[in-house]
Amino acid sequence: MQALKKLINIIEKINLKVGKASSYLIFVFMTLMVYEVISRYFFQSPTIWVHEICGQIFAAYVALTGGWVLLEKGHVAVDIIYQRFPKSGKLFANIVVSLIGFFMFTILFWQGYKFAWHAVTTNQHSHTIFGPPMWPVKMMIPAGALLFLLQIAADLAKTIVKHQERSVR
Amino acid sequence: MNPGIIVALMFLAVIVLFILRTPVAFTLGVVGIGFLLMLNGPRFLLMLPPAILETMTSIILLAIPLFIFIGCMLEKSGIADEIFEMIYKWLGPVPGGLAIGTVFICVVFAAMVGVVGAATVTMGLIALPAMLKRNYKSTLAIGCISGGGALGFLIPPSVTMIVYASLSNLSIGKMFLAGVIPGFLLAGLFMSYILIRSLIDPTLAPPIPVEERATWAEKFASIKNLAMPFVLIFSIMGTIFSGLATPTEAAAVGAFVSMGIVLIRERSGKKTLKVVTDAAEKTALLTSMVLWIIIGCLAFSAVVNTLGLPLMLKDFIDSLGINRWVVLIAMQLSFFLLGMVMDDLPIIMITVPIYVPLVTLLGFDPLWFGILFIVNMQMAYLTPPFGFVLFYMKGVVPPHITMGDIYRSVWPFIGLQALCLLIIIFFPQVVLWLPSVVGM
Repeated sequence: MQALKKLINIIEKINLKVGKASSYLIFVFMTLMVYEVISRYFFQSPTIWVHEICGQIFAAYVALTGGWVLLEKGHVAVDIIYQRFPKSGKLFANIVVSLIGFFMFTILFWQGYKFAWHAVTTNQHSHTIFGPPMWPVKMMIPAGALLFLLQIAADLAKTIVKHQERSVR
Repeated sequence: MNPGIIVALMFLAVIVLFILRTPVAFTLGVVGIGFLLMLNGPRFLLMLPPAILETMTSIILLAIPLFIFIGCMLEKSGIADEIFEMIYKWLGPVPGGLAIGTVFICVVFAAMVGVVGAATVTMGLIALPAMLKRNYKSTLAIGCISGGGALGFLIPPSVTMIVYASLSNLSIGKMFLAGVIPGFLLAGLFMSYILIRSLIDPTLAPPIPVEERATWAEKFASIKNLAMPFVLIFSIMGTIFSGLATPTEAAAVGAFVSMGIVLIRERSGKKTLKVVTDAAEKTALLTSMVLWIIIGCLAFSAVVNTLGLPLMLKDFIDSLGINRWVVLIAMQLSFFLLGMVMDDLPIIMITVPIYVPLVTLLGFDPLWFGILFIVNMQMAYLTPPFGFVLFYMKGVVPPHITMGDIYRSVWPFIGLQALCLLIIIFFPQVVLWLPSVVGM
């Protein structure tokens, strides 16, 4: 049990650190966008790369914060009926939700990984004048799915640990 | 299998998962993936990663975190206190003046901020105690903050509009423009209602005593408090509507200006840094939540699209000979009912893939329908028993005001929103005129 608790702790720390660090990416794309506006209107020289890079940073921003949002219980859900469940009902619901999450993000991880790995092996580049490599941004899908899977596992473990401790008492 | 039965099963699955408190993103994703697997086979899962990538790198959706960030900054900036001070000096002597002024501040906030929470929260903390102290009836004070706060949905910029427009392939700029006149119209309705009721019954919202009124010099001096909000509004809306920059670029400029405003007010780099990093974290949590719902919805709407549901419904409606206006009104009712139990985003996600193609097939303007949708979401924000604003208000009012009092206070404002909805239904020009004259 202690080992499990330690594992939960490690996962939560990872998601917290990765999530918070990624949340500061907003300053990067904010600054780049302002730079684009200034260079277009004051120096008449629009860039070819700002929008594309901002899109790629946005992908990292969204993907890498997903697990952290789950940790902070920030994914909206309709909880007006759940609140009236008895304890056993809540336990059942929590386990079902975890299993559902596993199903969805395993598929996203698997499909996303295939998608990204294809970009790596074929050394795929974007079809724009700027033409950056595509694998880093494509890797964000499996990376985000992995962070979700870790957090779902931690949440499920927490549910079970809490249930066990209660039934021992 | 009959596509109608499949859709019924999908919605049943969504309801069951919602009851189990499955996050909206997971619900839509799992139902979508599950049905995609069953109906089309594993091969079709290949279409998911490219669709997800397109969503996650969307420059249009990139505006969402920027607008949320502006909201988080302004909530902490103290701008609301300054404008309220001005309102107090100018409108305090008028019956109902503080409530009218509160609606005015909500309009200013709505024009700076893309999310509805910011105006509600700040007005709940500043305007509510001030009005109660001046012996305003609590129903009027609560009602005007609730109704005014919801204006954020309709007056651009609005995150709800960005999500709606991107899902139904409309221009964000046009959608923003379409919301301007209905937004001011609704604010005008609120203000007139408050003024008329306070003139009939001055005990409802008494003017402040003569000895506490400000002099003209003080009144004029306080106008400068509007300067910073107007700089921000101009830097966002001016750049979008003049076609100088895209909504996303304008939002980035606005976010920079909002940091500048906080820096000027705090006069301390350290404090500003704290506000800025807190805002960045809160923004990421909200943005990620919104984007993962959109990602979950990709699979869901893919299934709805492959079934050709909107076209099928259209044929069904034609075969029964139902008037298209009956369908429209039924949709408005469904929004209202869903709004009683859900937030705006889940409602957009489960209705837009079906409703928008259907209304287009029925010959309605999707832009106009979008504004009807937004007005409905404003009503959902207030409607008992589960409107968000109701719970928030319960948290900030003095303990002797019960939930029942709060429920009673919002109904007149829901009525005015319904009136605005009717005006838009009967006079579509209210929505469509401005986007047609401003070329972008």
